[in-house]
Amino acid sequence: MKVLPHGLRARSTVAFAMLALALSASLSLATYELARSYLLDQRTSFGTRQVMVNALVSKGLVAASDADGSDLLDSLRNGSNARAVLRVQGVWYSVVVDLSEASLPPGFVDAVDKNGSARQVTTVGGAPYLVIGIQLPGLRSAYFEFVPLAEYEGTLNTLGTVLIAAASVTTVGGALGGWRASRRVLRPLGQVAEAATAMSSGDLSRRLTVGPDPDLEPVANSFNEMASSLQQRIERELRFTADVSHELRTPITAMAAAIGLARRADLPDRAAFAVDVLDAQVEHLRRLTLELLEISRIDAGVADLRLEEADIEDLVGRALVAAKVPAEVLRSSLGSDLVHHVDPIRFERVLANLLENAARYGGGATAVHLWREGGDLVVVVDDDGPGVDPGDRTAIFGRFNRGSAEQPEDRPKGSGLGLALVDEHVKLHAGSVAVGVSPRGGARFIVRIPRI
Amino acid sequence: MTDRILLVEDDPDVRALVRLLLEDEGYAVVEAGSGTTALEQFKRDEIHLVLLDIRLPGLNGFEVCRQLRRTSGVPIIMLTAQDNSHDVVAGLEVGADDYITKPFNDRELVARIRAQLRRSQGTLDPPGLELAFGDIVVKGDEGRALKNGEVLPLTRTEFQLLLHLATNPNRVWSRQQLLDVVWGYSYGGDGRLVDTHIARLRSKVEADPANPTLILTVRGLGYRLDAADR
Repeated sequence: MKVLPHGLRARSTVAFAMLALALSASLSLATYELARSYLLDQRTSFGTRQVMVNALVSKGLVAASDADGSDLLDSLRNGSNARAVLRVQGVWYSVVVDLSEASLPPGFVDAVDKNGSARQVTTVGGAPYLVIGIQLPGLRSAYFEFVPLAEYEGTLNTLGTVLIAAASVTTVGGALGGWRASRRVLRPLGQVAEAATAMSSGDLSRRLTVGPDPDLEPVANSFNEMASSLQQRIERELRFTADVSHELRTPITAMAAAIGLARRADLPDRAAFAVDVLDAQVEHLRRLTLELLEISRIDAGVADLRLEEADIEDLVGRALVAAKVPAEVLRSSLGSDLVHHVDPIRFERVLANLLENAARYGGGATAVHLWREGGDLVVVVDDDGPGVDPGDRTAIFGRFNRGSAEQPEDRPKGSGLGLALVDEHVKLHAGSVAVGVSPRGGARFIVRIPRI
Repeated sequence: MTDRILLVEDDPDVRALVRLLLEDEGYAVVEAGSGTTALEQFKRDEIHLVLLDIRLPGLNGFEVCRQLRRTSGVPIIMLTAQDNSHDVVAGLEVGADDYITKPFNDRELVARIRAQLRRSQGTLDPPGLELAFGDIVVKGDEGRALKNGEVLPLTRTEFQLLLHLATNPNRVWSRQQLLDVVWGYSYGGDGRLVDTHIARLRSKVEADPANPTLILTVRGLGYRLDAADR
């Protein structure tokens, strides 16, 4: 069973509260005990002195009274208001009605007889009393008096209440102190978390401000060092990517130009076939490097999203023209609500890749719908092909994952990155892409881009 | 007369291949392997078109383009990397007339060059054609436009765009139509070509390019030249 809460701050709060409680409770207990014994001592010595005086008065009265003692009681009652019980030659007399020899604790009379005097704390009818007994020498008599302790108990109770209240306040104070202290201690951790979040969302230049605190400085410094080396590595990788891009582009350009030149000559069949193969492979290589670089740029978190208020129908229209898809497939229900915040270049790439995918696997796009759901822009690309198996509907957005669809033989091989790029471009817009079934059983790709 | 093309490209193989291709098509070719050489060659020879790679050692293509534009309206076709679409926009903004992505198709390259040269040399309009819109005067036969009597420094593409809009005032032209007419693309083409050229044209003819009064955008359709109240 888990009794302690998990959080560092909650734990330290509880620990501080417990410590405060233990300290204040033991202090209170000690105070209470000291006060109690002091008060009792005071009461006892005061009471004893009082009783001695009363006893002496009683002794005089007893000595002066006649044998049956009936007038003794009267004199006693008149002489003082002490709660006294008298034993005169074996006969008991009570000064007040509610206290008698039966109220004395057991064995007390024997103790007085034996030692000459005794005192003891007892309870009569729920009220506390200090009972003191004294032999009256030479008279075969003994004087017993009940000194009430109720007042003293009341004082102690008040003290106890005050102490408990103080202990509670201290405990709450301790908890509060613990909470605040832990907050102070944890605040730098929060800053670290914030900086780490900023970095993971692409702000690689984010650093912690190093304060003069000797305990926190090493943490902040090592965090910043880590951040710097991470940034350097990512930048190195990016430079590498850019270099690779340039280095690959030049030979591909040269090859493409050479193929173009070769095609202009009247080639024998075998050579023409060889040039065709070269041409197709160079084209494949071109697309592959292009899309690899595109995707690696997104991976590195440096793909900048250049949002513009774009005319969506115009962008889609351009993409259709570029993909040589007839403009009639566009069915827009945007009306006059044409403008949406997108990066036009990325948006066109999304469209181009979806149209290319439809052409490759679905016999060409049969409809491109545009509509709004809430403020979201929804772009739908339908085809009449065989559709996408339900089991493949997530996997086709993976890299180099072509699902179980057949590769058409009359088209150059795809890069295997087209749909993965669609997914990445759309995610950069905080949107989503999914595939379902078009009205006539083909594939339906649904892109959703929220309004910013 | 043979058209002379300045080919600015740092890779010697690509340069040699493109030269062969262009000479095949009947053009004269002047080569430059760097930006600095390109500027020198441009001063030395009469050049009818510049084919300009962006990634060059030293002075890059953008800078070369900017310097050429200070003195010349010569047609410039940029060679840009395809994986960096933002280069395209940047290239057009510094004054290129058109662009082609590397690696390029030989037929496409030749078609673009031909379209640019045809446009920049063809006899254009009936003599004496003069259109006035407020302080702007377009002189079709002279191939230039004036603002308050001063000749505007327009490139040929910018002038063609202005002339086309001006001869059909108030009519809306789609980007594709403008691409067909001004750039000579029969099919396809990039709407950004039109957008950046319109922006550059506005920066020269409009009093406040951010709030144009002459060349207006018709959202969802294209552009038109407004001839009202002038």
